[in-house]
Amino acid sequence: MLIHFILKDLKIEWRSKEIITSMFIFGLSITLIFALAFQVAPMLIRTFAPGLLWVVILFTSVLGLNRLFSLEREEHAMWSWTSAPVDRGTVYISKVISALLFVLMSEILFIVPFFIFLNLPANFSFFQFALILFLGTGAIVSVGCLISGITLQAGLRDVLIPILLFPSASPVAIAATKCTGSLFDQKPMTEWNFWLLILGSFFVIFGMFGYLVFNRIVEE
Amino acid sequence: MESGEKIGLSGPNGSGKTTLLKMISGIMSIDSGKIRIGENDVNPDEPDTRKNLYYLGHSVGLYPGLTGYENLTFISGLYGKMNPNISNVLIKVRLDSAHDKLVKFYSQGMLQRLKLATAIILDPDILLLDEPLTGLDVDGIKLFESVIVEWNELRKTMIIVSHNSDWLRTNTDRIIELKQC
Repeated sequence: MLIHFILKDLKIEWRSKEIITSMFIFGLSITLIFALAFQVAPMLIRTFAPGLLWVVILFTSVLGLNRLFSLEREEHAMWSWTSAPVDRGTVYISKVISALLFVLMSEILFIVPFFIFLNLPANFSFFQFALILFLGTGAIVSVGCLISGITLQAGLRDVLIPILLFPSASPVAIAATKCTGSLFDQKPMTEWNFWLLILGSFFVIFGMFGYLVFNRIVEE
Repeated sequence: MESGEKIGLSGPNGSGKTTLLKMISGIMSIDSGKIRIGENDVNPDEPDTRKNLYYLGHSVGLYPGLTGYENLTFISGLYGKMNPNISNVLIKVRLDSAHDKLVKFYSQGMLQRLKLATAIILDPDILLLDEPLTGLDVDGIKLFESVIVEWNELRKTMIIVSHNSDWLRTNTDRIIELKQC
């Protein structure tokens, strides 16, 4: 059933290419604005870069989540599964996986220009960087999908998602920035794996919480 | 309500006809009271209570970004029907020529026919039909009525909401009138 829902989201996105394209263009635009606004010494940029990167990821995630859940609202498409004999928690998990795939794909597209425009050296472990991106993005989308589910029936959901998500995801942004900053400074992983654990915990705890409560929150 | 019964629901706008059907189907939560289907209470934590019913709403309830065929495949998969005979059903509702067309380009009548096709494929014991004739042309109405006759012969339980009292009187066993509080 999980694959059934993920394939449906992938099929719609493959056809329209709305989510990834809009997230990529938005991420690229913010990166350009940062690059133009922060024309300071390269060392300062290096200090700010991890925070800027996660601001870009957080902003683009909001855009993606909003669009991903709009698919369910258009023509009341969600009625097809809210009235069906499916565990709605599965729908939440499928949304987390779809959102994770879409946000990671857009990150792959805008991270290269991010390093080029901000003139950042890429002398760090790519595996560790990928791990931070995966856990950080996973934590953001697991919180984000829960909030998007809560606001699914709300009229002002476009406004409500960022208002609710930014404070809720601020511990994720802080932990992810700490990890990324330590990685950019080439500190050993043992010094910052505590922040990585926080990201992983957020991802798992919110994932499980969302699975348990989604049944109730999607009812009208 | 007895199994196999065909009930019409009528009442003024805002009397709660659609709300009642949504509550039975599990789309809407229940503030107080209970809805029981057989031995089971309708409850969001019990997906099995939704296994044998289908809500055909007056809003679409289909994905505009998928084709008619893909929507039917997706929904039938939700009900565990892995190899439904979708092509034959599409021929029956006369949508075979539009099966690969995105649902966002369907007319209101085509959408109603597609929802009818969904109900035929799922073949549930209980059918909740909310304004099923909306947007249908004369041929579409005849098709719908013939399917209702088939369902009646199969002893399906039906609750039909319509503003057309004459149609309800002709096509249902009894009518329940909802009044606004």
